[in-house]
Amino acid sequence: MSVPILLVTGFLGSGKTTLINDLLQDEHGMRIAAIVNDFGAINIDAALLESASDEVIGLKNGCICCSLQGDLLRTLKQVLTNNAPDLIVIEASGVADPQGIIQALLDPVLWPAVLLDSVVCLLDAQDVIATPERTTDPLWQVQVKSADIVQLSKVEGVESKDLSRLTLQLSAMGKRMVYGADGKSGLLNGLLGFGASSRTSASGMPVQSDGRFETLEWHCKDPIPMAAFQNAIGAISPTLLRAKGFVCFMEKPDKQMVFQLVGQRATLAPRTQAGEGCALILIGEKQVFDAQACRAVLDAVIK
Amino acid sequence: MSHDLLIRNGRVIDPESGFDEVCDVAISGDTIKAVGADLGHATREIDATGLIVAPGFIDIHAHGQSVAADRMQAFDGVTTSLELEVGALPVSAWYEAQAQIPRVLNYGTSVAWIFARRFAFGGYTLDGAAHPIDQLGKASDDNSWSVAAADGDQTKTLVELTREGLNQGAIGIGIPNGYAPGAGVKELTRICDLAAEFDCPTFTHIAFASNIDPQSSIESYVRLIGLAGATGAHMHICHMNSTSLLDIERVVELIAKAQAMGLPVTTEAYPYGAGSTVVGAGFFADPEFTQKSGSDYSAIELVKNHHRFTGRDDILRASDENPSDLVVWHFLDVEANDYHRTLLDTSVTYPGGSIASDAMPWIEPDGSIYAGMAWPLPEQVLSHPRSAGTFTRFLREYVVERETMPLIDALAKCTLYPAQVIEGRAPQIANKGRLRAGFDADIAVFDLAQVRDRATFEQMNQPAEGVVHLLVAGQTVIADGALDTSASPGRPIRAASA
Repeated sequence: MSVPILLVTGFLGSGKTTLINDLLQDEHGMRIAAIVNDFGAINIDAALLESASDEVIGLKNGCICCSLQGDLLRTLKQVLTNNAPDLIVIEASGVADPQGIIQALLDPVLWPAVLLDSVVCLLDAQDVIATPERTTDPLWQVQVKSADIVQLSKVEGVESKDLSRLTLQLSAMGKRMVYGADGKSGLLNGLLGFGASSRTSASGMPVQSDGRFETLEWHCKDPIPMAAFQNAIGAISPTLLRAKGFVCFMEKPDKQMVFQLVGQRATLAPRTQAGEGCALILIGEKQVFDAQACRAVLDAVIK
Repeated sequence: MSHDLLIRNGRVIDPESGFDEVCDVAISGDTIKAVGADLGHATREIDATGLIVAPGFIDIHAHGQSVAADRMQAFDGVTTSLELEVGALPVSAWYEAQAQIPRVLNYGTSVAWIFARRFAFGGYTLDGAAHPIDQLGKASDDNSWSVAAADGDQTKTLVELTREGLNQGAIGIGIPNGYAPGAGVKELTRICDLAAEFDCPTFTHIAFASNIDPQSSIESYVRLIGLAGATGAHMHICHMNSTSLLDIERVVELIAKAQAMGLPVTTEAYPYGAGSTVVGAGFFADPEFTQKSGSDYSAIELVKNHHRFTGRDDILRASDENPSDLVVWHFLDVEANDYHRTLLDTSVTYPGGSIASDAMPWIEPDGSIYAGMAWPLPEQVLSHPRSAGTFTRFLREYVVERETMPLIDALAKCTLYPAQVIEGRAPQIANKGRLRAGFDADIAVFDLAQVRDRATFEQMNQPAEGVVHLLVAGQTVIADGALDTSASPGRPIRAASA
């Protein structure tokens, strides 16, 4: 199965390196490889991370959004050689639009080996509140827009009404998964675990959570209509945080697809192994996610 | 009459004349002497029974430019491999450096507008002998050369440097605008004036790859078409497949119209699917949506305001207004979705369009470009699979498996059409891309039933299969499926004025 990739974006100084260091040191039992994309000739971030893991690799050619695809290809290959990690974390340059990396990661050639799992944007709460014009910076905007999950950093000392306003502002940008207002990254870690620990099968995936999440498993032994499935996912996605699993469409009944949903981003890719039917696991926050209603919507797809 | 080599009993195809017959090909020196039956005696013979005998493929978008890259492309049927999208600067230094390398395939370059631009913005040293991909990737702390518009003085400097490159015999002008999207139209009209003055093609990687205005792919293509019309420059569009995204159908309408109006615009594509993104309702825009899904548009509800759609136009309007309201779908690989295969097909099968690989250099794990001579390629060196399999993959998928076009038309896309893009400027190319008496003996002999690409992300350095014999300038590069590691018949391709 493909190794999931977590792409970390965010403005200069938003805490990307700190987050990655925390991830590397967290006792989650996952082997994590970090790829760092510094802009400029000196790989400072790679040096900062060096102590945390021997799996930290700096991208050589400055900014990969300038698409030196060879460099990303090479680095991924390097990370995957020998003992492949459970999760690859790529730190995007703070001065770059992460779309370049996202596009490069969508190359089907990479798919059997790696798959973009989530895009997390670090957002310096103090900075945005003290400097409201930051939100009109085109770079800041593309970084936030690219993200499936927004993780707030540096929330200490920020008034809760300011945080609420910020969350509201982000939600107006279509960002529903905003974490870290409590100063923790635990929820984020829980969701990452969902992606990384589910590599072999859709069913029986261990979900690490702090009790705020509700999960639903859904199975169907027959192929389903593709557009109806998309329709159903469109309808239930506002209550979902993540979904993942295998689907088989009537349009291609002999081929299973791997389906992934993070926030409002869904991915479909051909599955490399053989398999039949559909098996999905869906996760949402308890107060929003109605597992039974969701099951009914999916069941309707079969009819 | 005695020849050096006789290729016997192959199916000989010449896309320009439409010739397609089982017969012999006689070669002496670097030239095809005769095509037909009873051509006399030869020192050496190749039995091509059951094989296709075609002009060697001309790759007008190849960044590899090394012995290793040449060899991998030889197995893909390529006999001429040109760096035209990025290019080199100074151009003479590049050709001098290549002359020191035992190049296997014919090689050549355009002049690198982008290096002229980096130089004009300061803090950058020109190095024509350095590999263009290394030069392009050179880190800088100031990226204004990429994101900023040039002022009058900078424009003057970069135009003069580009002119020097043309004077030194560059085949055209490389305009990788996508790497320097800050370059404005005023500057580009000056560069295109040069192209018109020298009657040479330009090779553009469009500035923006997006389906949303402003700064959409469509905007970029229309700008390029405008430059052709306003300056008279020949504008060649690089990898139309990877920069058009979901707008490819509209893109080809616009390009076909520009071509029909006589504008000098040409295209190329490679047959590798890109992971595609469907923003918002793109996928629902399928006219057969209701039929396929068995559901009505009114079943789709906009999350934000619980609006229920009245029909296709309604949903398209909503997706234009605010695509982020809906789930964004990524399809990895054309296998995932027939519609996406159709989009790729639209680029690859575009009438008159060339196949070109955008092959990347082979690199070591430390990121340096592999310049060694080992064969087979060392385990650790890597490059994108298209560097080894573009043309064989195209023939396999589009001719053998899916039968989208006759073989002779497919071969025209690999030989004649790319030749026609550049032969006005590089007369040597007018002797290539054809298989008739008097033309260059750059020949690919392949087994159509066996031809296939084999490179994958897991095993990038697997050469393609099916090319049984390959000749460059009449010299053997591949014989009976095996590489002659001593072969270095590659010659420089340059403009006549050099």
